[in-house]
Amino acid sequence: MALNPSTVNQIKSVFDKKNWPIDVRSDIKGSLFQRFCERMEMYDKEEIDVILILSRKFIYIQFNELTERIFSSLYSVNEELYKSNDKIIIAPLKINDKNNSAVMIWQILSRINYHWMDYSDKFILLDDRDNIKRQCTGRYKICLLDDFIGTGETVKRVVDEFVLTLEIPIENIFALSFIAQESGRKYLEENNIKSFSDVVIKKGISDLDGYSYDQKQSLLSKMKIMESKIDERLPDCSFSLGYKQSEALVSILDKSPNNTFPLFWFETNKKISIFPRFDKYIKQ
Amino acid sequence: MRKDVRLLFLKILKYNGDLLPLINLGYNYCSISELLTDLINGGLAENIQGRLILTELGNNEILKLSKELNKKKNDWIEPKIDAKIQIIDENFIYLPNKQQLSFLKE
Repeated sequence: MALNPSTVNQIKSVFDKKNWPIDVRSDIKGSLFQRFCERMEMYDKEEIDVILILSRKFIYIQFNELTERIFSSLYSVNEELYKSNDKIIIAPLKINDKNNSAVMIWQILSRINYHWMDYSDKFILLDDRDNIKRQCTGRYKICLLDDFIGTGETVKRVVDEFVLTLEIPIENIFALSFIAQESGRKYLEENNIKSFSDVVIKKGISDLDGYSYDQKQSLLSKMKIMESKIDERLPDCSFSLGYKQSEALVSILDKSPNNTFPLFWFETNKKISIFPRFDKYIKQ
Repeated sequence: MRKDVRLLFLKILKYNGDLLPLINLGYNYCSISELLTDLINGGLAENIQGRLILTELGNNEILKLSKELNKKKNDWIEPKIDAKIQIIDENFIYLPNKQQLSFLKE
């Protein structure tokens, strides 16, 4: 069954408010609006209303926002930290030598003009661990840059690696991201890891304002039912409601983190997702 | 837009019906959303508490198009124009493409 005109118009209102593109020329794989509507086809009115409520809170970072997001993140760092150090060594938050989104963000920073920013004369952009170690003299801090902090586990893993293999004191390291989940920040704080973010987000349903505890529980159960309509095994997966029940509402470029509700990113070869994480859909 | 398709679109909107006939005619949700915006901007439809309804102007447009297309007043079952095919020779064996049969789709 296809959607009705009122639902299409409601979806369009969300897109207009969020400034998300409605590209008439693109086919389904290239059109966010088309993908959104197709996913809604499997849900009833009540379920679509829930998805629209969550969509209004959804953060979708598009390519043209990246430089602005990088600058805002750098400005979210406590000024005192910039003042009290002579060197801020900025490195991508990556595990081993894996090329991830952090590397891409870091590479963009290394290619744009950030020299107008306050304290930018202290910035040293380094990717190689040996070079980083060599710069760790005097008053310095290592800034591990990423686009998103979810549970905080990845940050902890990388920080542990810096502490153990490069023998850098934990207090000389901090994580920096565009967006961080409140729970992830708390986890890092408990592990004595400093972190800064331009935007801090709460859980999509559990922290929803204006809803009672029972209403939120009912929404979470509804969400699981909606997941099962995409794939009946989905509610039993580790990323049901987002990895470790993160309930995130985030997508950066064309890659959603697994912390985001899978309803938005999980796709099969027959059911296309809204904000893809993996490209599994095969056009019929 | 063909007059019969425009009439179909207005009638779907009037009853907030399923857009599948329009999709089968080659429209996608992006183009449908553009058409809806045009109708709203043209004063033929309005958004009242999340529900799109036809205005008096929109209802008049249905009457006007029905008259132009010689529709009878009691013509309340719409012909399935998205399922119409070109007239074919009586001896031609017609095998429809399985992919194009909307009722076989999931």
